[in-house]
Order: sequence, then structure tokens, then C-alpha cells
Amino acid sequence: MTDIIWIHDGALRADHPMFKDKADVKSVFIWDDAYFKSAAIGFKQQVFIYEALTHLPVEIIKGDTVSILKELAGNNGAIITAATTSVELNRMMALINQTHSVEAIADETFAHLKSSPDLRRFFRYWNKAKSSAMDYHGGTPDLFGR
Amino acid sequence: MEILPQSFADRQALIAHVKSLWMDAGGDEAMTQNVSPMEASPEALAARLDAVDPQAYARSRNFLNGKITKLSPYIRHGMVSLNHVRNLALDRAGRKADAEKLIQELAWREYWQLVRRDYPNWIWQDAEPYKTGYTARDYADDLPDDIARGETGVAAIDDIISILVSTGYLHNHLRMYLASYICHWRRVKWQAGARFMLGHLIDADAASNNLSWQWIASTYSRKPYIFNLENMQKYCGDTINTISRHNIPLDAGYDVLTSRLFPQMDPMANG
Ligand SMILES: Cc1cc2nc3c(=O)[nH]c(=O)nc-3n(C[C@H](O)[C@H](O)[C@H](O)COP(=O)(O)OP(=O)(O)OC[C@H]3O[C@@H](n4cnc5c(N)ncnc54)[C@H](O)[C@@H]3O)c2cc1C
Repeated sequence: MTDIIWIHDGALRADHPMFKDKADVKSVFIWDDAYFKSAAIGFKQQVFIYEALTHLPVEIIKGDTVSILKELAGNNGAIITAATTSVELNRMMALINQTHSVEAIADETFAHLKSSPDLRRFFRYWNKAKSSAMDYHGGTPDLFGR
Repeated sequence: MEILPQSFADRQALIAHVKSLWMDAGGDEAMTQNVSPMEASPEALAARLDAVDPQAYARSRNFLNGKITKLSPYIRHGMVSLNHVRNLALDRAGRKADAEKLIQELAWREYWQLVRRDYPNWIWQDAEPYKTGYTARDYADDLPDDIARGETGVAAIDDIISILVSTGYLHNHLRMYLASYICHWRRVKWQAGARFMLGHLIDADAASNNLSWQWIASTYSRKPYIFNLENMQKYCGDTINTISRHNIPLDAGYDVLTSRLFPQMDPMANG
């Protein structure tokens, strides 16, 4: 079994929760021109992304994201990655998920919402999120003893 | 499988490498003429975090030379979490309330991400009709060339486009001015403008960008956002040419601009 950590352009840092307890798992970034095009990621942003990758423990592989990840994970490896709301990244995760398990790990909490807000206007969201957003770790039981 | 290099002699070598990947993929060479001075290194990020000052931010964020964080490319690419920046803001603020403005802006980022999660179609489709008195059919599909080249003849707008193209970053107020000019003065679909901006920004994020464009256009708000030259003069300082005779289309009061730009808009309709 070969699990793989797939780092994408929304989670370029080594202490993202997706790495937790995964010290031995190989991590890769797929330099996928078709994806960049579909997500409208331009040249200047590509330079920024590549530069960030040079500071991360990751192998950069050029090609098609879905087929490369499936190949690396073999028959029963899982893909571990960062949860995202990107339409294009989620579309690729869904394709991989047809044959492999995909674990999309959420980033640290910004705000806890007790009930789901009306998202049509910002202030309806903010009114529900504010008290939690104005607290350390979104007011979660104190992780770092603050 | 083709493994790409991870270390380079210097930044120039890295840029040349990305350029060759871009060209191999059929990219437009003209787009490679500029790179951002903002670097994606841990040191550059640490310097930005060191400089975060929530009180000064709250006082000055609307001004071009205000104490904004310039953390957007790092946040967009997950190099730092919103949680981390919020905790830092709370640490640095004297009283909790002093951190509120900055935390509320961080919340805008979170908000647009949640909107995209629940309504992915709104990234490229109108969330609501325009409230401008026009329908979507009245707006041009494509970005006019003079805008892409930064040669509109409106000096302040050309300055903004030039900063966008050469640095990959714009102050929030400049993003609003440019988006409003494209949608409302030029009557171009927000989608065309959003695509142009995404192609240049180093913090390009389809949720924050496209949904902000919809907010300016009025397809995600109750009324269109417009500005005038006097407003630019107040916030821009000397970085942008805001001399009246170089910016004639922008130089008028809000009533005049509203009736000029939206002659068919029903002023009562939008409350
Ligand atoms: C037309 C238009 C297009 C935009 N496109 C993008 C984009 O592609 N990517 C992007 O990250 N932001 C975008 N924004 C939002 C905002 O302009 C930038 O996040 C901000 O200017 C970045 O500078 P800063 O880091 O100094 O922000 P600060 O004012 O210091 O704010 C701190 C952080 O809060 C978040 N933030 C602040 N304001 C907003 C906002 N209005 N919406 C969403 N997040 C916000 C950002 O992550 C920012 O880094 C756009 C706004 C407009 C009006």
C-alpha cells in the first residue's frame, strides 16, 4: 500500500494538518498545465507557486494530476490532501475517488458556526461568525493553552 | 514520470524555468514579461507577519499607503492559515475590539470560500440579475484591447492596470476602481474583467476575485458600486495620476455619474 500526500496550490505549507502523523508518507505536487489553464492561474502566480514549492519537502512531477496520483497510489494506496472549495481541484478529487480513497483534511478552524448562515450577504454570515472569529482558534477548546 | 527540479542557483533561474514550462504549455510570451517582486519564501512571509499592526490597519486600510498586511498571496496559497493571522491579530491588539477590523476582513476570505462551496456555479454565472437598468445582454462579452494594454486614455485607470500587470498585486481599493470602470463605464461583462484580473494577480483566487466582481457589477449586491475622481484623490496619494483633465470620464459627482452610467436604473428599485 502506498499512501501519497498530494499538495495542491491551496495548501503550500509544511505544518498544514494534512501532514499530521504522516511523517513517512511521500508528498508530491503535480505541475499540471491543463489544470492551471482551467483554473485561470497565470504566469506570475505560477512563479509564486513554484517558488513556494522550492521551500517544501515535496517532489514536483509534471503531468496530468489524476493519472499520476492514481499511478503513484497503486492498487490500494490512499490520497491524502487538503480540503478546498476550488471547483477544479474538487473535480479532480472526485475523479480520483472513483478508484482510490481520498482524504481531504480541513485546515485549522477560523470560525465555528452554530447554524448555517444565509450566505447571500456577508453581514448575515459575519453576525453568526463574529463571536467565534474574534476568539483564538475560533474559540475551540484551547489547543495551545492560551 | 517527469520530475521537475527543486533548487535553483537564484530567483532568475527559477523564473526562467517557469517561463520554459509556460511556453511549452503554449502560454502567451507577452505574459512572461513581468514577475511580482513579492517572494514566496518563508523569510518574506515572516517579514509580513512581523509587520501586522491591527490598530494601524483599522485606521488606514482604505488608503493606498495604508498599513495593509499584503498577506493575500500567502493566505491564498495556504502558506499561512487564517487562524494563525487571526491569533496574531488578537495577540497584537491592545483590546480585542482593536483587532476587529482586520479579523472582519479575514472573514471576507472565509465567507467567499463558503459561498463557493455552496454555490460553485456563481464563480462564472451571474448570481442575480444586474440592478443597473441593463440586462446581461447589454454587456460586452470580451475585454476591449485598450484595457488589456492599459491604454484606455483615462490616466488613473491606465496607472492601475500598469501596477497590476507589472507587480501582480493591487490594493483593494484599486481592484474596486478597476472592476467598476470595466463593468460600468465600459459596460463589459464582469466575467471578462474577472478573467483578466485572475490572469495577472499572484493572489488570484476564483472565489474572492469573481464573487467580488459580482458584488461590484450588482449581480451579487443590491446596487452597482461606482466611484469618482474625488474619491480616488482622497485615497490614492501620488502613486496614481488623478489630475482632472487626464481623467475626464471619472470627474463628476455621484448623481451625475449615476444618471450618466445608468440612465434606465430605477433609483427606488434597489432600496
Ligand atoms: C475586484 C476584486 C478582486 C479581488 N480579487 C482577489 C483575489 O483574487 N484574491 C484575494 O485574495 N483577494 C481578492 N480581493 C480581495 C482584496 O482586495 C484582497 O484580498 C486584498 O486587497 C489583499 O491585500 P492585503 O493582503 O493587504 O489585504 P488586507 O486588507 O491586509 O487583509 C488581510 C487578508 O484578509 C483577506 N481579505 C481582505 N479583504 C478581502 C476581501 N474583500 N475579500 C476576500 N478576502 C479579503 C485577504 O486574505 C487578505 O490578505 C479582490 C477584491 C476585489 C474588489
